[in-house]
Amino acid sequence: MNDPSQLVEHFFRHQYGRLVAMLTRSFGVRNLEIIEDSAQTAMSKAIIHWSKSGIPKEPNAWLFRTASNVLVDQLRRQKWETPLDAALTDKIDLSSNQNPEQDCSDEVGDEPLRLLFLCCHSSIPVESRLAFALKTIGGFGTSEIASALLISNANAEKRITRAKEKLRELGEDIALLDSQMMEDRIDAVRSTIYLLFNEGFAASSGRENLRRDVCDEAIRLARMLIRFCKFEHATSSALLALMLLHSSRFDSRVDTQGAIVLLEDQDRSKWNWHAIREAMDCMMIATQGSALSRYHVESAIAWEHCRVLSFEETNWEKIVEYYRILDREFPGPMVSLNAAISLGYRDGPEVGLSALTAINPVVRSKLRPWWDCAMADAYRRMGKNAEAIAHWHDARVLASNSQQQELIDRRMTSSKGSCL
Amino acid sequence: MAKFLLVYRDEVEPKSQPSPEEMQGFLAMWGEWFQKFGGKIVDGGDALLPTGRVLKAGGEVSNGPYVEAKEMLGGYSVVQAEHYEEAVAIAKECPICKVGGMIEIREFAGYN
Repeated sequence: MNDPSQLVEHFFRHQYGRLVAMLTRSFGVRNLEIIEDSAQTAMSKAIIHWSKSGIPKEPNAWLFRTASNVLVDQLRRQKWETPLDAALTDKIDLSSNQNPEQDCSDEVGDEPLRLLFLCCHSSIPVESRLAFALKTIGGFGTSEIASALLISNANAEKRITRAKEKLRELGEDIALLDSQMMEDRIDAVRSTIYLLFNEGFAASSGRENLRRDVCDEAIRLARMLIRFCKFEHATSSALLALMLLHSSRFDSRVDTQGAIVLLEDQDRSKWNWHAIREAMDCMMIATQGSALSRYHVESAIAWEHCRVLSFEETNWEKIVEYYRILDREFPGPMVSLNAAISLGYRDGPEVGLSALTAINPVVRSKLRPWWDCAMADAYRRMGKNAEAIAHWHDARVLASNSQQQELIDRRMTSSKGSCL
Repeated sequence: MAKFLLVYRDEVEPKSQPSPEEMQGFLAMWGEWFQKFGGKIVDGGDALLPTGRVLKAGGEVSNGPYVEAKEMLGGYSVVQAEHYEEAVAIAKECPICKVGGMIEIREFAGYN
């Protein structure tokens, strides 16, 4: 008998996503609700059976068989109450004749990824995509999603429901997803994965282990994307490299009190060098061919930070160049800010200051309080403490939460620092 | 050896559905309990659905399970023990207690 505590970490969570995606492929998005219930029921049954008699030899197959049986049973009951269309009736009969073992290999198919492509339809709001991906594909519970994304349970529920309703309305399905649709949406899929990662990575007061799980889920999805999507490999690999490089710093980016630790103050020996190593391999793949995405450039920047042993050794020459490329090809407020900051580190604070003041007011308004911090930092490096303090005060007033405030307070009192 | 029924009671309004991660935790807890008291557990029992009917003397039927105070019958197991103290000791380590549920312990009369 296998001890039930011996299951691999997150086994149920990952199985949940797999069950839901596989059953959705056969029974359609419009049955998603009942499919999720079936997955949940299969797991409840597993608790009772497995705790008594140990884990079966093929737990994946056991769960899939059980969930399918529960689902078919439910659908039959529904059919009895309200007439179903012929297509679904066929499916029910089909699945009862089928040997369920056929579909239960250990191999995780591309179904979860296909579900992600479906939910990246342009009419589904981004925040709904994230919550839906975590719930339905990632197997997170609603309250786990709420605490990882720092929203209320009700809000998390609303976002998930919104995505499901839209999916039903759209009438698309996993089985109907063709390569043209996938090509059209692959950018949206990548940016959804990256947003998911950033939600988890942003240091905040949320439960640290859950935030890490969200980052891991984004990395898992990117791996799936690379494995199953035969096109745009280079760009997807660049995305994975970027996330791996960031995730290598996960444990050192907050201190024991949960406060943000700036890059320059991080203990580099705590970085995860396995992740960095894997990122290097991904970067090799990413540079095959001529594709150039924001992930390429951003991972090159992250790599520059990872490859040196101390902040002082940072190669600002290269980083300035990368930001110049980003600014030209993939402009955005954060890019403008970081471009100006890196210029200040390469050419001195005076140059940095004039680059910061050159950022136009509309863009600047999107960068508060970080623009103010960068201004303060430039003044500090010039030795103009009064001006620095004035800008830090501005930043503090404009901070949107207590964690930002805390960070700014510490910057104000400590004498070193940048905003990178 | 006497037999004891462990009656599990949950809150009437359960918190949201447990997440798969939490369910994996439950499985580990139950597995531990079964391993530790395997020889004492006569019937691992089952969970009960939150639906139900109540039939009163006179034939009146109402929907929903019979609810006392704030707890609802959620499941049961049967264990064997020398006396109440031992049965209570077994129940004390049951996962139901660890997730906020309540256990009523009743000795079988043995008429059967």
